[in-house]
Amino acid sequence: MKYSAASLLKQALGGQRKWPPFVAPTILKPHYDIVIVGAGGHGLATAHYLAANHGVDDVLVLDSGWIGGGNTARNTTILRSDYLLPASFALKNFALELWAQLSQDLNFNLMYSPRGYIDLAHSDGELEHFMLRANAMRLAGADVDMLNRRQISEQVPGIDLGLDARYPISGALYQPAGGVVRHDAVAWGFARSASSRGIHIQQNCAVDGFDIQSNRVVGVATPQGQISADKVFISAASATAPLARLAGLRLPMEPINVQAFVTEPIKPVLDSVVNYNAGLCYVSQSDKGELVLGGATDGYLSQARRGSFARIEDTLARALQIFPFLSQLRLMRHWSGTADIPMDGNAIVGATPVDGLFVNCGWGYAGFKATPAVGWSMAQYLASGELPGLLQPFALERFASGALIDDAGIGPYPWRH
Amino acid sequence: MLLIPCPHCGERDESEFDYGGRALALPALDASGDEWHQALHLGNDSEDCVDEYWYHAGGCECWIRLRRSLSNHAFVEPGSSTGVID
Amino acid sequence: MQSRRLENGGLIDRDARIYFTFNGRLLEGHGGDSLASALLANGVNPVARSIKYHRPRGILSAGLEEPNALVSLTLPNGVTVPNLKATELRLQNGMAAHSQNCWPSVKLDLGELLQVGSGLLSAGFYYKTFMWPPKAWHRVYEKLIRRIAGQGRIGTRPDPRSYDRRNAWCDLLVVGAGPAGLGAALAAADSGKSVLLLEQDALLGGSTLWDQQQIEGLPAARWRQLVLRSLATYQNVRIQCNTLAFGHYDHGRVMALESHADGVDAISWRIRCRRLLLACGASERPLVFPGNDRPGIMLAAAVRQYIHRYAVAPGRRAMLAIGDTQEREATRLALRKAGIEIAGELSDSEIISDTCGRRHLRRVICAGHKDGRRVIDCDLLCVSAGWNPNAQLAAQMGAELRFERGVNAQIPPARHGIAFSSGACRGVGSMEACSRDGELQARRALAELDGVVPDDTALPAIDTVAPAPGYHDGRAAAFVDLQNDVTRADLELAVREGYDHVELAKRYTTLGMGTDQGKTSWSNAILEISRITGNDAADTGHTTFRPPYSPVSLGALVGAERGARMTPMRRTPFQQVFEQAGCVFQTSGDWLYSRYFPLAGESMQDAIQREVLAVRNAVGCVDMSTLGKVEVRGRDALEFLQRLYCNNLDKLQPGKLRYALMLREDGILFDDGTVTQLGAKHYLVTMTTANATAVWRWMNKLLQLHWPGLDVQLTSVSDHWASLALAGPQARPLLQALEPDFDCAREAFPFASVRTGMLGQGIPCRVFSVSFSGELSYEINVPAGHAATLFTRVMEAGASYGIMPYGLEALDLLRIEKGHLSIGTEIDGRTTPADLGLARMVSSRKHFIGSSLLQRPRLQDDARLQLVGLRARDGHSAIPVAAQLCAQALQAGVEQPSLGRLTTAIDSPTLQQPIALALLQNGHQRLDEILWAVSPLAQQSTEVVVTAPCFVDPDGSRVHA
Repeated sequence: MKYSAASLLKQALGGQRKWPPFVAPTILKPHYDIVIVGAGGHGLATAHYLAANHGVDDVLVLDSGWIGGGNTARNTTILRSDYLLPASFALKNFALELWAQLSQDLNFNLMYSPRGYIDLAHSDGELEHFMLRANAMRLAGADVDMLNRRQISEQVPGIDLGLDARYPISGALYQPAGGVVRHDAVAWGFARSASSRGIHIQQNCAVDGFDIQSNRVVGVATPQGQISADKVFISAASATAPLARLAGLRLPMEPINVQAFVTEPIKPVLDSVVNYNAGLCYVSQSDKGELVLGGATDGYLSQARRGSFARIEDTLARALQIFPFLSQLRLMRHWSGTADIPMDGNAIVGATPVDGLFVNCGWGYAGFKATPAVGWSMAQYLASGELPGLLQPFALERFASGALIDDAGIGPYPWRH
Repeated sequence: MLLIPCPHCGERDESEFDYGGRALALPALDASGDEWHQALHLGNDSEDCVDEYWYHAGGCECWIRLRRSLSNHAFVEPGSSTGVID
Repeated sequence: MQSRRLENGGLIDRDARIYFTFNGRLLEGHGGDSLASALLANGVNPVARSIKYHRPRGILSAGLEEPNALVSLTLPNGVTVPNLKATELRLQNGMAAHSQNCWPSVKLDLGELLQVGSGLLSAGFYYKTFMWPPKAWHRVYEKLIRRIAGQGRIGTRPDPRSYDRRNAWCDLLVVGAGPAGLGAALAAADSGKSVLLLEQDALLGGSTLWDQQQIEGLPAARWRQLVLRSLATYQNVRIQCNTLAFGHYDHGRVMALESHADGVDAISWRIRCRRLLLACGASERPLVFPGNDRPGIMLAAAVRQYIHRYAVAPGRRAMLAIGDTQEREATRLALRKAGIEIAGELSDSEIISDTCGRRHLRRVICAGHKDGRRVIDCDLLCVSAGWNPNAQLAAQMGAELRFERGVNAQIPPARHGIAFSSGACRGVGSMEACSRDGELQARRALAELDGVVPDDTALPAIDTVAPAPGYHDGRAAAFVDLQNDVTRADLELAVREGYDHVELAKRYTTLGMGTDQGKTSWSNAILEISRITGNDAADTGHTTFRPPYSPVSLGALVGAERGARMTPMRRTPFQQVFEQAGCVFQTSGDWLYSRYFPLAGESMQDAIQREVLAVRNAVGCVDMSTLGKVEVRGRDALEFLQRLYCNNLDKLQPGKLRYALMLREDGILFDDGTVTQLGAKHYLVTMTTANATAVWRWMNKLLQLHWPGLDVQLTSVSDHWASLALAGPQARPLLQALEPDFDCAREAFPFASVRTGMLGQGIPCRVFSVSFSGELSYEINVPAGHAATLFTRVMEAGASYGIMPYGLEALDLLRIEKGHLSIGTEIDGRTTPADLGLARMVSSRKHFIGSSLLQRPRLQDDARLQLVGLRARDGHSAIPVAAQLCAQALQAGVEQPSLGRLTTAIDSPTLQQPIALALLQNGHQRLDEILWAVSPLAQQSTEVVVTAPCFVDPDGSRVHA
């Protein structure tokens, strides 16, 4: 059923009784052309674009839990593409182009809000770095500007630009197309669209093995039985490495806990997304009114999905540097997710040494913003067999060959990214 | 906040330490690029307990090797998967 | 004035009259009142409006679980603190509270009109519309929704309140001072172990403050008195009120928030305990029925608390809808004591099918009675569908909650990790049983600490006598989450649409996501979802419990480390004496750096120009103290350094030094510095400021963990030595003027060597002839305490040579003119030595850290970005800062690929023309090529010539002058 003000009205008059499920219940078939392991944003987006762009609908998406229940449900919803390295920028910028029309494409209001992303610099040197990024982005056709201190204070009323702050702000990079989107809606929107096009989505069905013959994957094993497939695509964030192990592969990445938190909801006080760079802190305000904040990872290996409160304190200290008045607010809830971070801090996408087995992982805490671009590109790859240019840099082989994509220049230390 | 059992200083707060990652053994300096690639990049064995390095910056300034569960952060006896250091 | 205040009784201080305002109206209360009890005492109604439908709301509870009565406080300086629960605020003189999210007033709120469209505003409606026209969500709809959403309001004025962060440690942390907590604390007191008892309320005692049961043969209040008296005699027991333990973290870390402390508005406590005794009590569960949100519908135990503790009658004519017989009896007694007429009681065979009363409850309509429909006129409805254990602190650390059918609630295990749950928070019923449970659990915890076998006396059973939930059906909306206005119909819709997993239902409907965190809604939601799906409640599960237990002040979490005090600022030993010289400083990482030294009236640009020219033409001095410095000694010192650095050091001799490059294990350039040989087995290495700590740790890691067989000792001397570099053609005569006790003549003290000795007037020193600026240069290291003296003497002795102090800015210009590398610009964590033109420094005769992986094909290929210099082709056009390198000039609307990027661009004072350094694809093969430095930001393109990255004295003759 199409979503619209008209259908909303009609259904309201009928007591809401005729709304269909957003994902059709399915009975598993013994075989699919493509099995996608992981019903998070990336996996579901891939499913949607397989059907929408390529007419490929003999696809099954499996998840060990509930739809979008991994990092898609836990992130801070920020969209931007201001990354230094061309490979990182290109994919994320393509995503921004897709985000702009995605609610309409999916007929699901994702609450896409291009309210502007402001990346603060704390020294002239840092400012110059941002200008480098901005110039690269402009050359590639993206809209980006630098803001001086006066312009920052106009965009962000109430921001503390005092020179007696610990790391005074010298200026900022500004990406107007950056912003936020409602994370849950993204998973639901892609799921609903894929399902409406005939793709099967099965929750609470874990994959516990792979059927590999002569170095080719021919199926997956689940508690609900064996399912054969021509292609298997694992897109399961930090669960990808253990799954890949089952297929005999080791992936060069580690799981690190990352936390985010919200304040109690208040009337609008912040209209853009602001990122503080002397020790990380990013903050935006949700449409419900909560301030949503996040910062650096917890800095050590973990899969516990809970972390140290010290990290919350560090992030908050920085939030209060830019918005001292936040001290009047209260922390309402904090949560964690597991960021899978590879050895150069950038994603691993594409083929594996096992024929027919593909992975998409290693997005760490930067994957949500790339969702539609990854889905689009992987759908193209799975449907046509040709690796799209946007995905080429993210190949697994790059660690052996030295073609690293390390945006922050940190090195093979996942817990520092 | 983890309480880290430094063998020299006793249980100390996480804030006193710097993390050194999974305890990877460095190959010999003249080992092949492939050996180095395997050792440096492919140490993740997806086990629950990992051996890892911590540096006690705010104490003995020594590098220590500990074993910890990734699912519940409990420090365990080296070589074990369950013996909790209490 | 207080129309509902009872004449006698209560734990309030009637002599203390407190005056406060609510929505501008002056009201009176007493000491010991909460804002909620004072509002009830004054008959204030309604207190608030709900967030979505703006329905009038009153006070449901007497504690942190309150979903309705949210207020804002206005502080004397005009700062507003929003979203406070009237039930959690201690009444204070001058308190100015007001309702939120209603206009023009809480009594008459235009937002009520939203109820007209309530059919359209069902759960998730916003996902189904607002999609056309495409940009309208952000430009129109979102703006409107944001204004309507959100609870209270804050301004951007500075917060005048004071905060702090403190630490505590104890053997046993007891959370909650109700029957279980007091029983536990008393049992633990004798052990001599350190016990910390935290209570979030202002008074100790928990339910003993308002319920009369017997504990150990005594009335609860009396028992409480005796226990507190006894506890006060123990030195090892510390008790803190007004302190909420809100989060349970790894390894015994508990976070707590204290309010109303002396002299500080709020304190966050970081507590480390060895064992945790949770006695957090339970929260009463409301009934879900049509029209269950009106002011006057209150939790039964809250009614009893308002009557017994606060001496307030919350109504005049009451009805009871309470399943449990003992609770019903206790409530009846309380109502009678308060002189409240009992209009009726819901019988077990009845349901509530509707309520009436626009601004306040007037009437309850029941169905299923043997006489048919029953209508009861009342202004107070006391409801209770049972108790939910407050198991959050156990669940936060992963305790699995088990749905217990008998109590229709999620029960934690008696023990999980170091947490022992006791009393009502694990489902134990009577006060007597709770206190016994607390005592037994405490003994078990203590036994563990002593390493003895715990007493295996059986713990009290959990109370499984809970009323069966009725299903109260009717046409009006039945609210499951009062704060977020989530109705039963919303849950039915969520399940119908496939959001039937409890996490999906939560997110789709926003149930439990308000500031009350679903304390009064989650258990009912689970029961409703189970009913709708037909699943067993045990299978429905629950969402993840996350801290904090109740919202906590951000100010208190950051404490006093605000503004400049967030992290320590490091200063060099020259700080004071530079200040006196008029230095302008800047923050760079941890450090406060000298930036430039302006003369009177000079602009920054002029000062920096002058400083650079002084160095090139006369002599300047600059602070180099922040560099890392490590002494390396031992039989295997050279072997260690050979493994660490990529260049060959075997030609080094005592008294000599080399510029050296250190790679990461993966072959990428990590740091640059110098290696100086001081003695046979004695070296000194320097590291960049930014990497000083990282390299120190790295060196230790290699020796301690990977090469323990090497005989090497490391000593960090970074902070021991102050370092001032003299640079310029006059550097040598100036050095001589400082009267060193060694020969500084050109042949005696050549470039790349070190001398140790004394400067005149007894200043020990080590002097390195090394240059970052490219001029003749001596880095004079003196023990840090001599810094000021050294600088003063240098300035005095240097006056006749034209000495000028210079800072970071000038230093940067000088090194750019020479093409020397800097961290963050050329050494950016992605470049190799070959990229930067230093391939010759990578030894092929030895193996070192990174040598193997450096051979990876993509680290060797020519297409990589390589360091080059750039000059403006016409010799004078400015090269735009942060430009990209392209084949063509900038053209509007034309995208072109980038061939590389600048690392720096300056107007060279020495050469009097613009120059730049850049990383260019295959740059080493492109000397003399013409390209464009393009800056879309500046709308500027400059034609540039690719050169070698060294503009001044490429032969390096000056350092040997």
